[in-house]
Amino acid sequence: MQRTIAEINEKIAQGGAVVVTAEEMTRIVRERGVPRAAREVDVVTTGTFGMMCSSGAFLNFGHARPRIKMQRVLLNDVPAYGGIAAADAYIGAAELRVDDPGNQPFPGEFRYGGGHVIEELVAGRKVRFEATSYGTDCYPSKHAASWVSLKDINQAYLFNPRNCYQNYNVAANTSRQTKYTYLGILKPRLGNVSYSGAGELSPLMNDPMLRTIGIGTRILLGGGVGYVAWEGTQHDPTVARSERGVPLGGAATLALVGDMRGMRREFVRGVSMLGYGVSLALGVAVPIPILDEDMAFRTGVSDADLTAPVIDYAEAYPARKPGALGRVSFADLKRGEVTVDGRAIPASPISSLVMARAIAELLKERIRAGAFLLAQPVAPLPGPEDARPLQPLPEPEP
Amino acid sequence: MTDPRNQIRKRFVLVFPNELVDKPIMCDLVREFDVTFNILNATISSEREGRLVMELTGASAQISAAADHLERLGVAVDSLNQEVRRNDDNCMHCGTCEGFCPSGALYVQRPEMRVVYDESKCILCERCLTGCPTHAMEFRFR
Ligand code: SF4
Ligand code: SF4
Repeated sequence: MQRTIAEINEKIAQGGAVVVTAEEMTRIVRERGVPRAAREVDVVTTGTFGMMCSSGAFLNFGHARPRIKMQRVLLNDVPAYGGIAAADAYIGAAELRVDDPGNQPFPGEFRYGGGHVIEELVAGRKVRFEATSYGTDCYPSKHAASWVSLKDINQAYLFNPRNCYQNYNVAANTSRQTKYTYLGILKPRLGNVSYSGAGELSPLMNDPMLRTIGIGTRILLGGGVGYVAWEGTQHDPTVARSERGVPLGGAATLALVGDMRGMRREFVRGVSMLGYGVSLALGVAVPIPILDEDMAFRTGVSDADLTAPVIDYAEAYPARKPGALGRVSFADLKRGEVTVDGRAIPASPISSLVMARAIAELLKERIRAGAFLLAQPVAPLPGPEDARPLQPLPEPEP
Repeated sequence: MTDPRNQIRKRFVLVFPNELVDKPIMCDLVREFDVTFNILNATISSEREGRLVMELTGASAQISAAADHLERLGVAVDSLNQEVRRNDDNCMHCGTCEGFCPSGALYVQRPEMRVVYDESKCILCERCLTGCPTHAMEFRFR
């Protein structure tokens, strides 16, 4: 059984494509077997929703009168990077407000930052704009202030250097103090573990070899139409894999782009991580064409097949020491209890399966309605053979 | 017991001075005033003052009488007019709060993975006010 993306698109246009979510596909493959699932299903929709710090937006504000080369840009007092053309800026999700006290007193609350500005823009709210500069012959003004909303901004698109991590660490804490991390609040003495990821619903877990997801793949980003732009930063498909070919730890990542104007606030949320910083919680849905039996097999993956390393965020992670405390399956993580070293430990997520399901369903409905066609990637992402393993920062010269 | 339909619930902060900390005051309350209590939060300060956040259930008149009785014994009684509420528009059901909520008031309902807030279990520890990433949990005055 073989089918092409063009054939699938024809079926979508005629309203006859069979589209299921990755969770439904897991059941279908288990009940009917791979060959039948491959014959019966055309597209599997995957979804994920979680903190993705490597996210941000390019914005063009339009020119002020008189003109200003916007050097230092503030949006609701959050700095945006202005080291690009005169009226452009990039607001990063993890940027703090200028007066944020950081981790003083500890743990810092980080109540507002770049992720929140992005959420407010997507929600249609006005944001206070301020720019300063040094003045030039062609851009004489040194200061400009206004209020802007998505309606007023010429271009506003998320360009996220690293989203959709393919598998990730599960965080634990072996020390005697509470640890405040980007993976949540960790109780002392292995009191809990926390994790991020949608398991069997997750985009890159359903196409572990990156056979169908490549540059140009059309997706839903924040609920609006987006595209895979490039490999993400820290993309490393060379990591060890299970027998099924699924990476055993953090591996591939995606750089994503999408117009903020089609996005929905429920899938684009500014977040504050106590003791850590601000970020953006983002929903992404990726369609996977069932080209053949291999893709049916891949998308049939279940939480029991997916394992992640438990890493000590008190010691091993910050010191960059190798070694895990153990491995646990997504089935156990979602059940809420894992076993590490023979000990049962409660497990809680920090990413939302409810929202991941919502965006995977949204994509399913759009494809079924004929409103979303699949895109043939224009180039593949580096796979296990073409990528080089991640390098650490070079040690300083003696 | 009073007819359950006439029962109300009221929360108080009680501060017990040193000399009252080990007296069986609460048991007397149940016996004499026909109220039941639920301790939400208890701390003992460095001066060995005891601080209790508790909820009394019973008829309105009985609850007032019980509170007056405690005051006569030397307990500082403040009716607690704050509560922790969830703004459901802001909750993204991430589950972060299950990891730190000490009372189990915030928990993940499996397998749906929706996060439930059971206010009756809340002990007003306030951790979620800063621990919830979207500030969905709010302190409110009644
Ligand atoms: S941490 Fe906040 S947003 Fe997340 S589930 Fe709990 S209440 Fe909802
Ligand atoms: S205040 Fe918040 S964290 Fe504390 S018990 Fe209540 S719901 Fe849980």
